[in-house]
Amino acid sequence: MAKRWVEFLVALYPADFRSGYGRFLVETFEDQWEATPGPIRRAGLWVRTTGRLLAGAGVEWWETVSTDGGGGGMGQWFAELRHGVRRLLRAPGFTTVAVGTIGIASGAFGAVYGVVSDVVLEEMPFEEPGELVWIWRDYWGSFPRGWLSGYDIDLLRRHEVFAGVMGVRTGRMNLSDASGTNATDVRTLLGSPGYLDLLGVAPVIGSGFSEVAETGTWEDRHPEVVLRHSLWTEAFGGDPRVLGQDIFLNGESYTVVGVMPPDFDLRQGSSLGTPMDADAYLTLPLDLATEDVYNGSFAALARVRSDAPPGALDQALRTASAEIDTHFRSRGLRLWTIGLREDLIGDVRRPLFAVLGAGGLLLLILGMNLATLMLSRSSEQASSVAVRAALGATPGSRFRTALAEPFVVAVGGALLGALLAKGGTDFLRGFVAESVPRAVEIGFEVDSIAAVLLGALAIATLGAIGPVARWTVVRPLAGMAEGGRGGRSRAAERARAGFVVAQVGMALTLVVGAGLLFRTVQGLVRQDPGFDAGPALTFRVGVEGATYHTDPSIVEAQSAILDGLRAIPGVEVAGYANSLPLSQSTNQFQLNFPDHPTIDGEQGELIDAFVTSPGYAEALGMRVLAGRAFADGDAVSTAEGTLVQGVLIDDVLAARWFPDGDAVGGRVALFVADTLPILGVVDQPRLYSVAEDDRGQLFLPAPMRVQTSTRFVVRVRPGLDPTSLLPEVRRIVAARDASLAVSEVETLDGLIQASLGSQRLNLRLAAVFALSALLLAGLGIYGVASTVVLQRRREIGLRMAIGAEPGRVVRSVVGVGVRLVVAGAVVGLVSSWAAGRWIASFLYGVEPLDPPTLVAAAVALVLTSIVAALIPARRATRIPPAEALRAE
Amino acid sequence: MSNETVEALLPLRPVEFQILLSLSGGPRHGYRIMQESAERSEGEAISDVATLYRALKRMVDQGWIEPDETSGERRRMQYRTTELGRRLATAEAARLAALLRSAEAAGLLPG
Repeated sequence: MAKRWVEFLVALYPADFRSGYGRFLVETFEDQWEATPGPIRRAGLWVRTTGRLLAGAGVEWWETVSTDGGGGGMGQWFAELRHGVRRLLRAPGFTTVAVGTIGIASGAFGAVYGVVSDVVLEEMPFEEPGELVWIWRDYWGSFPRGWLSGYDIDLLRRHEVFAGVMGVRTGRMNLSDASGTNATDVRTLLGSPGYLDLLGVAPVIGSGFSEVAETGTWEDRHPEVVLRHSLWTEAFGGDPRVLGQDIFLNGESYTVVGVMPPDFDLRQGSSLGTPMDADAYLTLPLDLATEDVYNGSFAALARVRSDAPPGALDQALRTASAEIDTHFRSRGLRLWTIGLREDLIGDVRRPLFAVLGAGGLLLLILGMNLATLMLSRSSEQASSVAVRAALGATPGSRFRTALAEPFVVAVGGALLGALLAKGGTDFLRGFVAESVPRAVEIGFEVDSIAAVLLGALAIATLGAIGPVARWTVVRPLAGMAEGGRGGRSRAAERARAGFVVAQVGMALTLVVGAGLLFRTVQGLVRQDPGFDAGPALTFRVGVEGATYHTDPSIVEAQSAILDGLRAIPGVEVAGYANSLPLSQSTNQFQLNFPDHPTIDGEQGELIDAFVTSPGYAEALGMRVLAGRAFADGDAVSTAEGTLVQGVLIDDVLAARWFPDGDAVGGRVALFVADTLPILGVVDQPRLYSVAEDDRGQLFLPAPMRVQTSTRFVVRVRPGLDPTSLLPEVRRIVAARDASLAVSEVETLDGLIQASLGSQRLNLRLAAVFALSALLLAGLGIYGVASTVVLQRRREIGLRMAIGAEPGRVVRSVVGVGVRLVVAGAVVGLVSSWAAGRWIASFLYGVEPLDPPTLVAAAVALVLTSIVAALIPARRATRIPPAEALRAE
Repeated sequence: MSNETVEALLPLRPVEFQILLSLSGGPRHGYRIMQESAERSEGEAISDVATLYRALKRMVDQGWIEPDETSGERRRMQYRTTELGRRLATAEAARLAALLRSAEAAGLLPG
């Protein structure tokens, strides 16, 4: 026993060494062993010797390789590898499958890992990113991610724990050429003085904002702009001469003073929905200290001093919160922080890790496939192993022989995997661009390659188990005796069945996961978004620029465009609003219901507000539940102000504040004294998600509270493709003012589909994984059933010869497959349960343990196994009895 | 090989000297070398196979000792010293003896 162990250890040494000292080592150890009394001392000797001999093997290999440059011992390895390659080339089918298996698995894993690592694990491209936080204003729990006011920021700046606190705000502007034409829409980010410096990232060209641009008065300063790298390359062709030149934003000239590095991407924190990124960075010349505490309009970006004493941050936030809260009747307003990366990727971390987990499972399944494949192959080679062992091949040389094939296919697979991972990374980046933040940062980098190699190594290791066991632990005579039947040992068959059971379990897990996501998307698609989306086109026009400094000028432009749209042939109805459903963004304010009793001590609540034109409700397909929608004349601008007939509320507010159904004719109070009658109640067009939205909505008639950002909805007659209107739409807007850009063009259906984007993405990825897993499990079962048929060839042939029904034979073979599936399903149910809990947070309308999904997944697997086993089973029924007899 | 060359190889490592000491009594197999080293000195005993073979291999490569294929009980792998090995052992012993005499003169060895 001990001797064998040392023999095994010696087999790990280079061949040259073994021929010189192998025998010596074994003999000496044997003597030592015999001379050592007692099991405890022997155990000590065993452990010590193992450690020293393993270390010694490393040393000897190192010396062999480094002294004779790959000759000698290495030469034997190379010779063995050459043999391995030759053997593999003689079995092109096996080789293709093995290399392909490793390649696909490690490639897919590498690509998915690359995405996860770049999105979730990689630090943000700022200096000391761990110190950067967003600060939010939690309105006594009713709205956790409120904007801060300038007043708040000024308060926070007085605390030493912050190296800086900046107000940040996003916007959109029309970028046009000097003549005011060819407008495009750019997203802008404005920040208080020094905000780019706070991030610690310098422009790649240019020097950034000048002092006067950041802190000078409106009169002194000439506005400056720093371009994001992508805008620089797309709109300015990456021309460095743009530096120092003026570009036109909303008709005003801005001097380009810098271009940020390619990976720089500052997004406004996510108050609601997804964080907004920007193409151009501007300064915000406001004295924050003079800002109204009630005007929460900034995302606050802060850098926390890393050397601040523990608790200082909490203390600063508490002090500031208490101070601000006094302005809100001390209802419990609270400031809180979240890291920049956490804010950005908090929502996608779990889904991405789930995808990575699925990828890992698939990798394991493929590893099992390779293992069974290798096991079969080494079984076929069993007799040659036995012969070589009998001829005196040492365990060491057999070990090398065993490793040669797995090693060669692993190298080939890893190369293929790297190629696939590279392509896969690009594909995934495009695939997830819409629904995953930081997608632009995804690239094929060192960590992806490492993941590919790791994946290939993991699979190849699984694959090597069979051959190594077969080649090194062989008993020469037993092997030769088995050789007659092709040397299939029971142990190998059991191992193979075990692999298939594990595979089926993992496949079931993936299928159940995909099933749950399918049910989620199915549920979401059936969800009512709150409006009847018809054939309609939506687009945005920002009515901004030098010509639009007064409300009437803005309203006039909006009305003129609307009139133009209504005149397009095929347009049934058109309207506009400041924000569209499912956009997760609009105005919020406190709405009070003066005639009604309080709820939880409040006479109103924080609501989402929309400003909508006549025709908007009809164009969107909003459903009027009571009263009426807006009509022309509901809001009329006069010299004294805007005369408003009333407002609309949604069914959420109506149910809460007018439970008796008397909403129409009731009153709401905006701000302090502005009381308005309710003209109608509408079904709520969901703002946040088709799944859930319980915040009430208020609709104000345009042009009350004029908004420059205008979303038009144009409904066309049925049968007409709404996007065919686009050229005409652009012409109408340009005819009104060529410096206005048409952007975010989308059909109404497209809006709804896009809102399901992340769930669909999850589903698509899960479906790919699940289908692959099913296929692979099927292959595994096919392999086992084929072997069974091969082994029982004689018996089956005899049974057929004496008149057994083919049906019985088929059933008995198929039964093998079904038994494996049942065993695997038991394993799979447990892991499905765990996986379901893991993805529970992105399921909707379905429980993690959903019986129909489980049953469907099990049925899918059973069907797969039957199909997989049927092929060899049918082959079995065609075995000619005579041949079966000869085979023995 | 001149005496100067031999001198240049000194001092020997304790393990090497132990092995040469054992082999000066005739060819020995591995375990016997270990045993004898343990009998000679508790502290410098060669206690594991790996240390032994590393030293043996080094010494064979340098030509101090060589495998002995001709003799031995149960046809074991044995080693014997070469001429160079013997001279090395003698030189090392002389070196150690001189060292010892110095120690004695310094009064470090009582009695």
